[in-house]
Amino acid sequence: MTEKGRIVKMVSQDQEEFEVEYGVATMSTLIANVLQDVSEETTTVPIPNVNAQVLAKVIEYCRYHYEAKRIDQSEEDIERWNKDFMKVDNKTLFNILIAASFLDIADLLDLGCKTVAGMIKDKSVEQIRELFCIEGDFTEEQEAKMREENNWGSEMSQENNAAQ
Amino acid sequence: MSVDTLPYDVQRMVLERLDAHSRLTMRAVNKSWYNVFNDFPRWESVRIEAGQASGNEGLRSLLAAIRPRKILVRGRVLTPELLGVLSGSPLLEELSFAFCGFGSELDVSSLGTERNSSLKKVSFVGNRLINADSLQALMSAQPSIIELSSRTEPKNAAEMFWAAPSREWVCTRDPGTGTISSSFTKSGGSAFH
Repeated sequence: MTEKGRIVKMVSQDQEEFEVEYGVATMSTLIANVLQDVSEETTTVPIPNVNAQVLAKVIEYCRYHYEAKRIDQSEEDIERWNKDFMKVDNKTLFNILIAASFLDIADLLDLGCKTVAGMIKDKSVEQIRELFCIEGDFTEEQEAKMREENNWGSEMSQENNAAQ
Repeated sequence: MSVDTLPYDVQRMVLERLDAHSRLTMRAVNKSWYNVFNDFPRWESVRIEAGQASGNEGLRSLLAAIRPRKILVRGRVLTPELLGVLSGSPLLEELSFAFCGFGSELDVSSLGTERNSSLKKVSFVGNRLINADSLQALMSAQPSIIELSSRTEPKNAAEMFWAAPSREWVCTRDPGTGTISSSFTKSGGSAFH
């Protein structure tokens, strides 16, 4: 069977099956590696860490980008689509990130991390805790020390990349 | 579900996509992010601008966390305590001051109070020249320093128009023999001088 016509069946954690074109499925480095190691007759790939709702979103991303590359979609259109794609609640966003990390889809992982970073930018510690439902677990002394450090941090900028 | 449920590598990738200020803010959110931040490689270079932050202990512990290779301080008032904390930053190799204010004569001796064996270059650029004796005294106090300089430079276009010639003292240490030598140069200046 040629790779062009090949269909891969992805099975989510909750046993839902998704039939996906080979080129779309192999945007995941993990799936590409799995398919390389098995015979051509193998078409089913279990994705035990990702539920159907999240897997559907991930496949939606891969399908769009596979097609966008094929038809040479403009950067502007892709950017607009990415922005809309990331308009999800926090829980879905984090699950997409976890799935992208597990499936090793570098572009989706980058997009998700940039989205989270964009949500964090210019917010205070308290605002970030509220936004992401995080409980502070420092002692009062540690909090005070951190505040003093961050006073300096607000007047500090990083000039270039980190050294090793 | 919280952002803390993200795997370590993903948390780290999020931090990498933040500017320095947001990264430092995220570090103060909770212990999980604090730990991810602290596993970062040391920072290559930071710039400290003029501002209101005070309390040298805060700066000392922040520098210990980010361990920059190079620090550029611009437009701050330099006190001997601040000089001591900056020069004591762990693994610091270069320290530069640009247009920083100080009293009638900058007491650079505090640069040597917190011995820092990694510190190799210190430079001052501004409207005033630090005298060669002070620079030489500091070179003696901090054996790791191989180059120490003070240069006058106009701050803006107006100053440039009226500027006196640029003057510079450079003290260097021969790494082989340990001999300290200093040189003075004078260049440029407007037609009015």
